[in-house]
Amino acid sequence: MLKVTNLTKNYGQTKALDKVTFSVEKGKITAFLGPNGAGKTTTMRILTGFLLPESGKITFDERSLKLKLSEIINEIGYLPENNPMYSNLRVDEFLKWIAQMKGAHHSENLLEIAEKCGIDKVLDKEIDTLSKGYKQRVGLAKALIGEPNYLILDEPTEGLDPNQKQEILKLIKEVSKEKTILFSSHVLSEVTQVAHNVIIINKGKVVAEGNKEALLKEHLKNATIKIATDAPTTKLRQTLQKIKTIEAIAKTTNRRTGFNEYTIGCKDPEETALKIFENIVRNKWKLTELHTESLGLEELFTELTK
Amino acid sequence: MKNILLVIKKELKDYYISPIAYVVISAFVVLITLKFITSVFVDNVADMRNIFYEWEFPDLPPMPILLILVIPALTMRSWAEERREGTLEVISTLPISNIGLIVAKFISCFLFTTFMLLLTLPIPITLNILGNPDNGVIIAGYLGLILLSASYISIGQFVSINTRNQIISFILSFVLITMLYIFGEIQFLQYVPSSLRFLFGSLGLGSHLRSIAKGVLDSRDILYYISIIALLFYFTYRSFQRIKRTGE
Repeated sequence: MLKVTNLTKNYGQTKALDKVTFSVEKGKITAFLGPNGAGKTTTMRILTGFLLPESGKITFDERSLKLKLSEIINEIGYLPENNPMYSNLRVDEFLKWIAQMKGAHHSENLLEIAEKCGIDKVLDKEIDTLSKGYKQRVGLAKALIGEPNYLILDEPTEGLDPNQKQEILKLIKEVSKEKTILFSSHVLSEVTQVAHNVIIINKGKVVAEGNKEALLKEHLKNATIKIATDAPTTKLRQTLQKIKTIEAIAKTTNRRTGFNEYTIGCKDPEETALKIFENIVRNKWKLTELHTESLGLEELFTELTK
Repeated sequence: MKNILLVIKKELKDYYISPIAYVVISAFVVLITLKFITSVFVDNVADMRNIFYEWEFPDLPPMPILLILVIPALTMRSWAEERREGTLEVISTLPISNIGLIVAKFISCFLFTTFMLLLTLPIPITLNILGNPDNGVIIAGYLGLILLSASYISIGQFVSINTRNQIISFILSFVLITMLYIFGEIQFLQYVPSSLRFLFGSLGLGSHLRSIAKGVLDSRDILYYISIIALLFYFTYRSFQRIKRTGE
């Protein structure tokens, strides 16, 4: 497990990180979210030893990064922001050099990683000549070299097309079982797809941390319920207004079927839906549709970072 | 240690595939050979002194002066390029210490420069064929040049780590080395108050070389170069730490 406690970092007068505290569990993918300039890259740079913090404690499986930097750094696979690489080298030269530096120069392993990342056909090409998508994959392959225990990936799907994104996300998911993974992304649909846990950072402070579903439940208590019923509008409104958790009712008439459609804004959607159903049944109205549209990570992100 | 060697190997490879390095090496060797040939055929003097330190304008400059231009051209990309391309983040998050990285970059440039200096060996070899020179003085001269080059490199590395721009790195290194060089030159010292003359004279990069190249291996001269290198290593390390603190 990777644990960060009260991490603080200043850039001159600007506080980039303000007592940032979070943990990343082994075997689970943790997404690191936040608007631009929130402190994601700074945090990742500190975790990989590239930047020095003002204060705070970082431990990788109970080992202090400050005290065991050289040991821990060998166990980290890191994909930095913008994926800088030695562009004058060939892909195989670059990966081999990284492998040698990490003391993991088994060519079979390199080939396996290259295949996994879909770069086995461009191994003899100069990095400079590759497309952005391929470069990103080379960067990811670099991060995977040496079977790292910890993967720190700063926007790993940046610059990839939708198919490549899916492949990379699949790969991250595949390797996540035995690794501690922290990855940042701007694309919330990706996070929804692969992450187990989420850390949201804003203006240098962690504003939410934990299991994705639990966070949504905790922070997004509002939801929308849609119903379609033949109930007379006035009577339905009178009935539904008695339910305390309902905040707003909007009507959309579907003239073709004669059923009226309503969009109901409410708190505690599960309980509210049950009460709406009970009321409609009690009044012997017909009901053709009732479903809850719960809000997602995007809304949670907007809510916490506005 | 193994990783220091790996970085040295990679850096050396970068030098050998860089067209700038070839231009610099060729220009250096051609100019020095030309200077030697001129002195043999025009002045009828077959001597290493005018290769090692003696210079009368408008003659071609000797090696220490040429190196003031050559070494900043070699060191300018060393760190500035890594910082501009962002690869400093790649290399410094690999299992190699900051000091190890500084040492590796220094050694690779030093080896390349030594290789370049060795390319001028046909000159003393020719001297040996033509006559009977004092090889002890020649060896001392080369030793002095190597120490001088190492000092230039450590200055160049220090400047390079403090900028992202190779041109700025080149110009600042050139200015800094030139300043330190002329401190010990008589043309400069005559304008310095007599109470400070000894201090400036001792600081001059070239004056210590002259002493060594005359065959006098004084430990103070060697210690001077080692001190310059150690001090600049320390400054480079501090600059690296500053980058890690400020991210700039």
